[in-house]
Amino acid sequence: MSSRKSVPSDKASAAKTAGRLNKRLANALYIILGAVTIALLIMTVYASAQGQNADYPIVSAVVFVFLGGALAVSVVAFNPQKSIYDIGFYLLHVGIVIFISGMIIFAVRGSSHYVALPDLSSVTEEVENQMKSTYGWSDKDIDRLRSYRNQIAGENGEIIDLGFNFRITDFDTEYYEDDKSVKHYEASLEFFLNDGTIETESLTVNHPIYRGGLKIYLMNVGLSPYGYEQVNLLIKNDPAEFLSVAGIILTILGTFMMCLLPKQMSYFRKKASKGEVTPNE
Amino acid sequence: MSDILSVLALSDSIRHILSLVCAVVYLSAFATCVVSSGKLKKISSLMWGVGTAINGLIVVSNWAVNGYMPFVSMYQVLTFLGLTYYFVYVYISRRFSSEFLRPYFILFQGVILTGVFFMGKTASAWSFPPALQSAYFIPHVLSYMISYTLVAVSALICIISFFLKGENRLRHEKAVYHLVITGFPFMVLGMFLGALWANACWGSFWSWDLKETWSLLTVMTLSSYLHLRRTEAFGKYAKVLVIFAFIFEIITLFFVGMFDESSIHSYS
Repeated sequence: MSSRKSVPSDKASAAKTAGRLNKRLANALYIILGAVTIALLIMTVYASAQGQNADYPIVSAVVFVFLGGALAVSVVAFNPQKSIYDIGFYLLHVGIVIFISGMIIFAVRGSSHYVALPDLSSVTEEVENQMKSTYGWSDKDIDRLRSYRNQIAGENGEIIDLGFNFRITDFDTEYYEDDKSVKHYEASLEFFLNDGTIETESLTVNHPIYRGGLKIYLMNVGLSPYGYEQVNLLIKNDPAEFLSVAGIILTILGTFMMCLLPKQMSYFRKKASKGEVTPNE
Repeated sequence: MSDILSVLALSDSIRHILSLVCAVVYLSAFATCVVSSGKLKKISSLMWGVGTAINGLIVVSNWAVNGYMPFVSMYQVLTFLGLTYYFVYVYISRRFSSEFLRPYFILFQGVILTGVFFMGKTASAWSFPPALQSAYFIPHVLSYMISYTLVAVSALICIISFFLKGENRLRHEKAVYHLVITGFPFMVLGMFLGALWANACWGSFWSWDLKETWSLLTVMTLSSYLHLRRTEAFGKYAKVLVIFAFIFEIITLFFVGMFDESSIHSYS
């Protein structure tokens, strides 16, 4: 008899301890979330007051780590009804952790470099002559300008091998007729493959090209000091892009499931004073 | 089709006058809705319908004039935002049976269209830059519009709830929660679609641009509200966060682009 009685009492005690632990974890979560929100607010207000973009290379990484930690605590602390209906809860929180993991992996293992390449169609005979007469360019220098690139310079001057050879053979800018603002940018990229063949691909804004595990973005175009058009590209290596995208999809899916499907809203229901969960509909 | 579009491409002056008419109709509908008794309620509904139809006409006309979904300039966004309130109200009133929210939605429409009128008649035409020519453009802006609509109304109801007591106060607090849980997923969707778009356009999911950071703050504030309201200790104070979220939303929408021209989001 006594053993029968002790079972529920143990269960109750365990539940009480778990409840206390959950409460502590929950408080920790609130403190972290609050601290991150306040830190973000201060940084943002400060940057707004300075009238410049909020560019915090170190602080932003710390914020991400804190956010990841807070969300991990959230998953542990608020293990809700353990019901199939709470799948949205897990999708959302795990999705954010996956997204942040992807960002951290990119920060550690990935890279992105800006590179300025000439639009070879703008290196006309007239421009060449001017480069030679005014700036002292030799034929060899001009040949080098026209040649394929297979390396770019990193931020610290280091040489990075791309694993492919390419150059920009043409760049088109289309304008609106009425206000003459830019309608369309298009760069023609020529790739020289190992087997000696040449492939051409067009690069436009919003449509990067994948090549050799790298992504090439069209950023903008400008005039070089030597008179030819210079196209600015971004070459990015993100080994965890699929993680970031998967995290985003899970987060969106989870949030919609939690908030918009009635049966899966238990997580957000308000607790009654006695600790019972009440439907808040 | 092009004939229909050319007919709908009203002149700047006509659209300017229409925005004034629309604002007046909305505000009149709001006034009659607040009084709301018998016949006046029907008149209010009728005026609201007329106002929405005029608002829709301005949006379609903006579309016809520019040749793209009119979400680029602030004028275009606000004109569409006015229209969004109607459809969001229809969904909310059916889902939560909260018809009492109607005047709040109409009031916002009136205020927004008044703002549109004061933006001037030449503000409608805007070119469509290459960075915005993306499949993410429409869902990103539309998601934010839906969420902004809901956060704005919920913040107003939240403020009003401080002056109410008893059952009426509870009803308003519940409505705040209902509006937030409906708007929150759209805000998250808008933010993450923006991240995907940024990755396709600028090569980075997140750049800590001012607009991005303020929008993250808005999402985090709403997220804090949803978490805090579950607690016994802070639950009753959590709704204050909705007002803060609305303030952050206003800053994100209006002030960041206005004061920071170097922002990668300054198109309008």
